[in-house]
Amino acid sequence: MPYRLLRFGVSRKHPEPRMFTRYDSLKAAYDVVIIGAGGHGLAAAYYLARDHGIRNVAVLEKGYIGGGNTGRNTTIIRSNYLTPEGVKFYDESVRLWQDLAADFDLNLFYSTRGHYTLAHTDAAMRTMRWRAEVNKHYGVRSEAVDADFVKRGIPSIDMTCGGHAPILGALFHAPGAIARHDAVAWGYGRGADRRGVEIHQQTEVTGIRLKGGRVTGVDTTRGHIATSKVLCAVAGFTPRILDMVELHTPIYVHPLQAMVSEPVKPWLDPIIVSGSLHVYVSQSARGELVMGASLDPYELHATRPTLDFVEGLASHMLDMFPFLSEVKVNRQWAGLADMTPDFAPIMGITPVEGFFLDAGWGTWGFKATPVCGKTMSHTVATGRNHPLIEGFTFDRFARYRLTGEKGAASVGH
Amino acid sequence: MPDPDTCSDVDWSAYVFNRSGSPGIKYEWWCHIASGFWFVALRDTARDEVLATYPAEAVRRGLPENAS
Repeated sequence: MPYRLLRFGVSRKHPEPRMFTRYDSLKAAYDVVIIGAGGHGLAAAYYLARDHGIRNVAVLEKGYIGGGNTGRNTTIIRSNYLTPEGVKFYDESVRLWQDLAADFDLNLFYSTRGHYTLAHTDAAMRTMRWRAEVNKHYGVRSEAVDADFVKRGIPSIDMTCGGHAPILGALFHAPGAIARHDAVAWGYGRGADRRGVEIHQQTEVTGIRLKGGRVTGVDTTRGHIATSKVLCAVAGFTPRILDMVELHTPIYVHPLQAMVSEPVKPWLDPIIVSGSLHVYVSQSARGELVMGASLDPYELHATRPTLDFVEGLASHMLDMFPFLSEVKVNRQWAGLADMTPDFAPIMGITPVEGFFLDAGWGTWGFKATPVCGKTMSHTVATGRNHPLIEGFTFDRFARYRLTGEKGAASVGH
Repeated sequence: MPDPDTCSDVDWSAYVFNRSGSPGIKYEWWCHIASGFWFVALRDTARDEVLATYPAEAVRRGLPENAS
């Protein structure tokens, strides 16, 4: 066996196909150029090739595949939102998630865990009942549950939360799940690659050329490309791309941090969120506790970690689970969250013809990856917004028709 | 600021909602919570570096042109 491995290593012809084709140069023109090879960009490329027959597509990525927020989130998938627009959109996403691993022939470690949003006050309980009713109306499995139900579902939790935030009940969302986030980007990337889409890593977009209000091409660090359609799916880098086409949006960028503990034996099955304590936590297949909290409080375009974040989050974790006091924190990181004033994304066509936007994904973008790919590929292929994204359009601010989704952000921001 | 009595709804929405989300050197209002002291900071939002600070009174006299 080691002999075979050695021979394989020095052989010039590798019999194993690589996951992605590596192209030496860019073509002169593509039908569609997608900026950003994260989950959203690659999903759009995948569905463009698979469902719409548009295969002459380039996905440009200034770093590496899935290296942005796709690889920096806490992998929670749920559809227990507050607005009808949000509930319908994320419910479709949860449906798409179910068959994704089979579609890709790749194990996504998709694991349905159940999702508790804890309520520590009467006001929070009212919001949970409201969300449960909206969810049930649209056929999403959510229910407001009492403290006994929470205690049975999470026997190890301190129901008083350190004595200062007693748990009164929760919104329980049975379809809540986690998945292996890198594999989502790789699965979509490989699927798109096999259908002829070109993925170019380490290729930064430096400018977008316009003529008479429509897109004619893209300048990159590896040369110019002619194209009439550009999809921008770059999360925290969105404002910089929008400057290139002189579009203005309310998007602002704050860092969002997360951390994981050392691996411990499996003890936490469901996903736990507490808005009052600013915590969301789940246990990964490896046994690590994956934890997140609120956004950093001010604008910043850097992914530096802070001690303040770890201290605050650890303290709130101990309110819920005091027995974790000896468990160490292993890693800590940050991503750049592109926030909007109404906590809903900005998607679809823009005033620049041929420039499509998939942005404003702030702290809630991972779970939407499949449905964003579906709806954005439809929008790019037909030039018309997909019906599911009509609540998230670019022009909603000019029409004063905001989609107030803030009540359903997992923790207060 | 556009004149709210005469400008169009679209122009007013642009003033109310839109902002420069790109990194740059920007003026911001900050408050030192311990003392309740409000001041203006000129900060590089790419590197998180405070370049200058001004007391609130300085706003009335006019701040230097925004470097971004």
